[in-house]
Amino acid sequence: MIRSLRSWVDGWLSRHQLRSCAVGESTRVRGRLWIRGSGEIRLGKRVLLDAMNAPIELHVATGAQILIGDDVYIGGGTSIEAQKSVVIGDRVRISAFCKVLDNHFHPLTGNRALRPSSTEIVIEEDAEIGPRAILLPGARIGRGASVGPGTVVSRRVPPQCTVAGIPAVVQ
Amino acid sequence: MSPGTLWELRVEVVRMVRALATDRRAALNRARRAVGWLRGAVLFRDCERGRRINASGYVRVVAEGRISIGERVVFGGGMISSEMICHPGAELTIGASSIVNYGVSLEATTSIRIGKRCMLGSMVRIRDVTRLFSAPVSIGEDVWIAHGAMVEPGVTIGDGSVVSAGSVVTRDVPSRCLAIGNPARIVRLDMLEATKEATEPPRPDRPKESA
Repeated sequence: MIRSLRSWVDGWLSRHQLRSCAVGESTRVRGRLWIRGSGEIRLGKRVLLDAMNAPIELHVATGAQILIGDDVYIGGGTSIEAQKSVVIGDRVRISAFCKVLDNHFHPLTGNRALRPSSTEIVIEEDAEIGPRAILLPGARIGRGASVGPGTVVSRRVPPQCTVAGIPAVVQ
Repeated sequence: MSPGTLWELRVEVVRMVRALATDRRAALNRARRAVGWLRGAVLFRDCERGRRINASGYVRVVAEGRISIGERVVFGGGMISSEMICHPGAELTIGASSIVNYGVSLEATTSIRIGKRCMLGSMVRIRDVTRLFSAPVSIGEDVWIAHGAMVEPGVTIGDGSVVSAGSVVTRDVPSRCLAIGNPARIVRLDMLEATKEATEPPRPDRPKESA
């Protein structure tokens, strides 16, 4: 009885935290999900946001979108910040403590208060992003590619390739 | 709480009430800021602090040494709390108008000095001690340390420099340079365009374009 009560509570917490998103069937959140901003978030079917170790943050600015496909796994501590668009394909695995940014927020030189323009981020199907990876604006992960742990990606990763290092280099 | 902070709070509350009639969102932002000042005053009660320090989330403060925070420093709240640990006899200084994002970890056993108008991105770790040795860390003004970077003991970062995301800085960074990689290598910011060709990673799937 305790188990069924607990699963009901978990289910309610999951649905409550996803109340402002469009979700598919069997999509759930374990742990705490932080949703910031009033943009659009769409989750496909059977998506698991596993935030048991650390909360997951989905930050969508007004007019921005985060589109997540089916069968996606997102590990805890991950932060996805969309000022324009972040698209995640089906069966992608994003491990813990990753960071996905589509805007640098500050230019490297000059007036740091001037926000640069956004570049949309696309992660294609079957890709795997290792723990603590960072996807900067301009990153495009090809189908089936593998991003190693701690990698900083700011360019296109070809399909079926493995990249690692800072900056990311094809292995 | 100092009388100065109380006065500013009163001004903020008055402005917020006025704004309620006209612009709800501005009123909400003012309320958030006022709560942030209150939270900052409570969290940093054991530190020497300037005025208008804003804490949007929980910051774990262990002030066994001396922590001083300049005025208008903003601690961005978030899903992962920041921490500032200052061991006995140590000194931890954050310059005025700096911005500290979520998940930042600062640990001082000797001295960590961060200059004015610095930006510490999320999950940045700055420490001045390893198992083997400890050496002070000094970060200049207008330094931008991007997400997930780590600054190791004994490092001096010059004014206006940028530490790229995910880098691990183990050696000094001169002024107006970009530190990128693990361990970080230095690229001069004013020569960045010229060095972009050299630092571009190989792209095997695309034929090289002739110049």
